[in-house]
Amino acid sequence: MLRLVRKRWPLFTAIALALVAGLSSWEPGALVRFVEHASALDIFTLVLFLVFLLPPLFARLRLPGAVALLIGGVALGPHVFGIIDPDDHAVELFAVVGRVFLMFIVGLEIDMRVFQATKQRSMGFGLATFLFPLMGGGLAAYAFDFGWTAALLIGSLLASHTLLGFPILTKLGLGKREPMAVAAGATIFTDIAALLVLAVCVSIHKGGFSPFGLATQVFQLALYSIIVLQGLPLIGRLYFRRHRDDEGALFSFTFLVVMLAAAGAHFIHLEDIVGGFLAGVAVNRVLSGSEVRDKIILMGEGLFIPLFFMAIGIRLDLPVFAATLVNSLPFVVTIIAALLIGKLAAVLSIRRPFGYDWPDALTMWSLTLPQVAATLAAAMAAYDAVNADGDRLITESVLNAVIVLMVLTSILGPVLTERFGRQMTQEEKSDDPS
Amino acid sequence: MTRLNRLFALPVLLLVGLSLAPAGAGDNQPDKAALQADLRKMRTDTLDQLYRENPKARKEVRAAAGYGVFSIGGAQLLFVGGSAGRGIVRDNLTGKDTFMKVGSVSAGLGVGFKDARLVLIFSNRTVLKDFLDKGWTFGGETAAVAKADDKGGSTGELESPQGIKVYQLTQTGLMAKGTVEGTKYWKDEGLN
Repeated sequence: MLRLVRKRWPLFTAIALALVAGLSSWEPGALVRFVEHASALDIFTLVLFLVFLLPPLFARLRLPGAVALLIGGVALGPHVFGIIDPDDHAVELFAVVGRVFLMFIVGLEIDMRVFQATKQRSMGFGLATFLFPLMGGGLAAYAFDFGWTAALLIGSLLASHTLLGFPILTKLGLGKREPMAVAAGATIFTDIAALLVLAVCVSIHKGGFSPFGLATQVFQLALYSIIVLQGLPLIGRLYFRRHRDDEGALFSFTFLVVMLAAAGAHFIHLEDIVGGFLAGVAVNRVLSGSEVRDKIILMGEGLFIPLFFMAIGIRLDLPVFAATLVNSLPFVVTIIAALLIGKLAAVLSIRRPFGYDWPDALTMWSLTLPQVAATLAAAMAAYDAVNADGDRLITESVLNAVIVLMVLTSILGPVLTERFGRQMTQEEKSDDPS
Repeated sequence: MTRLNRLFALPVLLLVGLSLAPAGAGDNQPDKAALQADLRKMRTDTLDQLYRENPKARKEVRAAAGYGVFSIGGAQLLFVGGSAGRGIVRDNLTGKDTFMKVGSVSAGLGVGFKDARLVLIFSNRTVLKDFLDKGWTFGGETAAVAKADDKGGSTGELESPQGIKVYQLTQTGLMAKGTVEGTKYWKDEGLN
């Protein structure tokens, strides 16, 4: 240490002088003044500091990064330090770009080889793990007197999932086992199906239900999917061939493609996250093995997605959040139960036909519990969907219930995955005679 | 890409199937739709006025189990079908609107003023459900009375013991005093 100080004495002297100068000019209320007069650059730096600091800190407490960022957002919002105004356009921008990027990366990370290897089983489990929670959540919402469009949407929010516990299984050496590959493959199905339900529900909510209107919307969606899924790879390959050595251009091109797909979806009255997801699926193969892919994911996971979670936290009105939860507690408990039971029923329905033992099945169950990426992005999109009467597709109470669901399942899911995963490894060890 | 197309095809087919299901009997009566639109506009205008005069009411409305906005003695909505006025109650969980009527328990209006707006804020779901399912009468033990502040003065809010907060508004502004009693509320079967 002494050697380091001697070697870097100009640096340490400068730090000491800066500290002395800072402390001598410190007076009560300096922090309040900073908050009041903070420039956009100061605030952005503070946000980045929290993005950097909070997730690893919470990881030590075994809490997921998304929860850490949500709490960070709440801290910056008007109900704790009041540093960021939730109505600021920048918050809106980060919320929208973040959710588009979130779904783009969900699409980008779809590994068709994994799906192909277990195609029949992934489809079977995907259908089960989509339909059971969809029916459970939908019926629960209907019982609470929701309209059928909102009930269907709430069911679909439970039907998708985020494989938050997968890195734990990889660490335990279980990532390549068939049940886990089936669960990963099933996610592709649930994500696509949940987004389709969202698109249709938003369309019905905004334009009213008519068989012709719905058929038109489904036709538009199919047309847009074909254009994006087949057109983007075509343009992408041409562009990548021409500019293969210019990484900056490739990066900008990919970024533009994501936003174009989202804006295009918005233009034909589809949700922007549907466009983002389709773009991710479309450029999946074009970017395969490319360094640009890693950089795009890094950019998304390191910046845009954390900012999305923070934006949700900033917008969270704590007193209203608490009051709506108290008022809708039976509903919150019911949808959590519908999720747990629905996902369990899905696993039970395939356990015997697929020949999985209990630890396999329970690990799959725990893996499909977390409701983070697609669920939260879809819930935000549904909350933002306003019809001609000014009514939202889902209310603030439902959005708050989804946030509770996200926090609970993102904690519970990985904990259970680790527990059941260890059971699997112990059974493997006891089965191994050597 | 073919495999992907197939993957997209199944949910799309499911949705096309859904789209062929029979549509619910839509109500196209223009009068009904027009009246519903009038009531929604009345609600928006009334809430805007309330938020201007009492900004903290915005948060109360958002945090509540539900809220209702009623117009009493308004030119368009006056004494329709034996009622003194009409309004809408919003369930903050489901987002559903229920159209309701308001009238007096005995002869006379009971509220004591004309061309007024009432904003009812329900603090819990039980009372909201009771209000919607069984109707409600403000009177006796259920009268909404003025809340006193720490110094014994009026806060401008009325509240029933069951947890229904009431704001009374007229064209000139928020009414600070009085009680709400002698009025009953029931579902408007024609408008729902």
